[in-house]
Amino acid sequence: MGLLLISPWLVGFLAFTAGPMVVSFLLSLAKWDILSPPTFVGLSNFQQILYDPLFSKAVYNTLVYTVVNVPLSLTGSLSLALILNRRVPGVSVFRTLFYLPELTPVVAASLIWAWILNTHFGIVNYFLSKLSLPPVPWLESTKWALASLILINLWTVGGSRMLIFLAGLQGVPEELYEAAALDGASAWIRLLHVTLPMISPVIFFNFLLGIIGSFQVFTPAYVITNGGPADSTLVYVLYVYRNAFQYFRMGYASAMAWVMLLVLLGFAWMQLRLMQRWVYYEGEVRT
Amino acid sequence: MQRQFLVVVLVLSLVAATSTAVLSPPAQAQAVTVRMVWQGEANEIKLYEGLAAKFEQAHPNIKIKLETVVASSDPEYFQKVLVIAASGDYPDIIYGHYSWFPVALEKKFLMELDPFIAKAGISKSTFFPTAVEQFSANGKLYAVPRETSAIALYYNEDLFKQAGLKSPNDYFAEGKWTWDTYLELAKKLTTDRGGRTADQTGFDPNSIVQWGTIAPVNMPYGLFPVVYSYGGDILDKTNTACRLNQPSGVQAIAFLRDLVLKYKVAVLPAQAAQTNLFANGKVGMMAGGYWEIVVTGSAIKTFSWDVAPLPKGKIQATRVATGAYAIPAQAKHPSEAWEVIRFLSQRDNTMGLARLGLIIPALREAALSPEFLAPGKTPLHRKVFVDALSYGRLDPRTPRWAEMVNTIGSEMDLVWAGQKAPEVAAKDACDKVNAAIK
Repeated sequence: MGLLLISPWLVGFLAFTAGPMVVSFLLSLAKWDILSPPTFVGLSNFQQILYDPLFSKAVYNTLVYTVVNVPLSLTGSLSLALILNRRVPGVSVFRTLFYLPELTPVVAASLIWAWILNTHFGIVNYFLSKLSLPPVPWLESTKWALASLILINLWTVGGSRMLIFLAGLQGVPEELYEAAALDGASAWIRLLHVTLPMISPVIFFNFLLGIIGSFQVFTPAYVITNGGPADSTLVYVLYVYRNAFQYFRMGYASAMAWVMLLVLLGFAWMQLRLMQRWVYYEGEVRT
Repeated sequence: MQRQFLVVVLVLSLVAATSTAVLSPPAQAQAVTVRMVWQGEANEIKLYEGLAAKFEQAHPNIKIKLETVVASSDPEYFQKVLVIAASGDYPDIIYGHYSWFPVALEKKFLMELDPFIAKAGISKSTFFPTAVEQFSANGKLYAVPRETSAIALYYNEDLFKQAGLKSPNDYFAEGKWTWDTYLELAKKLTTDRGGRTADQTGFDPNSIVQWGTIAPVNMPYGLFPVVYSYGGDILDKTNTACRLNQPSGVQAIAFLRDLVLKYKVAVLPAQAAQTNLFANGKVGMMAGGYWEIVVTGSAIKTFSWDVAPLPKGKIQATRVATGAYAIPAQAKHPSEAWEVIRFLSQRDNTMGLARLGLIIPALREAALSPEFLAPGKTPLHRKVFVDALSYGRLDPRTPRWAEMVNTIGSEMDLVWAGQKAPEVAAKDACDKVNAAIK
């Protein structure tokens, strides 16, 4: 019975996730241009990765994106959740408003953002000009483009990650705050010593998802800048996409995808190890 | 209770799904279905459905199945066509732009059409020679050209009149339509908030409200025609070595850089496209293909506009690109597919498509007909597109096309941003392109 009930998911998993993964692993050991049959080439795809300057560029861009984006968006959503966790009239309206960006299709939002950041007509540069500042080429300069993509991503801080934080915050027992307050702990101390440890599993969860999500960033880089200018927003997945579907190097693209999977697994494993130092689960006693 | 209900629903829907599959009537035995993979927007789909119905009436044993692929760009379209083909489920006809042809050729993916053409008694010279050449290899034709297009220069007539300037077509008639003239016009058409033009002292490049031109630097149809007109090449004649770094190529790139960075009379295409700058009357001149007549022209409500040939560098040049119908080598019904292609390529049917405004027929008598040239209709000088076919050039033929375009584009971005000198960027681009195409 149980199996039958989860069968849609199970079939979906086998057909659309596990199956393609096996195939892509086999392809990572082959050369395949889609039109002619694949030929086995051993590890040469992986070897080629080592000498591909665009690969290192894509890795670099993705790392910069992740290192800047994850802490920013994490603190952003946590702060927002803390603010929206107060019992004030109309708070649910604000929660809804802040969640709204998450409901906007990424492509549509990306196009709107391209407008907002337009060098000559964008509203951001309009305000800058009111302050007598020169226009910033947000999306046309190699210095700004990646930063702009990170900024754009921040507009969804009120989305699902904030919601998860909010749920975590509401699970913190009221009496802990009360006890701390009685002991004379300030709001800041209560945040540091009650709230954060209590929601540490949630922080951990969002942190891990944030890293994975950042490594997989694709849509804004594809839609807004298409990797440019001068490959400054060529992120990892975009380069995989180009190799697979524009240059028809399926084998090479598969190898890149597998390298990414291994790196992400490594990250997750490292996090799980580190987690024991700072994540507390309910009722857990640490000495 | 709820759980049981769910199971019942699930089982019922499964039963329903399988039974419709079993009970649906078997396909008609004799009729052959020709599957055509193509792309088209709503009006084109309507037109083709009508053509298909007409064809089926005349050929009761052939059915046409139009499989419209939705794609936002040529590479994306080609990618989807390839995936369809890779599944082993070969369509009988593939319509496509030239950029996919080199790969198809390299993989021997397409059928030679010369036997069909010979049998039908059709002369290749009924099409524009560049269109035929683009889909030929070793003298054999692999696709029947449907439409062809050249890059020309659109201009805002009102802005020219307001500035008291002669139009590009006037300069062309006098034989003075060069990139230098274009630059001088662009300076006079670029104005800042204070109303000063780019050639006046006190001009503020940070508060430009109207641009002389959109920098023709799009990859590939902006940059390549300029390189061609400066007498340069992208690749050598055998398509095995990059030639962009030769003096004429570098000269073209330097000219474009100066438009953007030195004279500040050109806005980069990405910014212009977002705001539909030309259609909003904020740009004097814009290089573009025939399709812009519909894409941009239909959005223009408040001013009059026209087209002129691209300015001349060392030579009068532009870039020509073609779209065509091909039959995969593994198609199941090649002779029926040929009948369909022949039907679609007839003058009246290709004119039906031309009437929608998006294409120039590759069939010469159609493109040269008074109906197509539509005298008296905006843009008045639309014949420049057809004339351009005689001096236009084809892009180099390489299966690494997408990679080449991306590679050159990335280096050029650095030039337009002022971070790399034209000769350095051209050399770096060529080094990378050479590595990719070897």
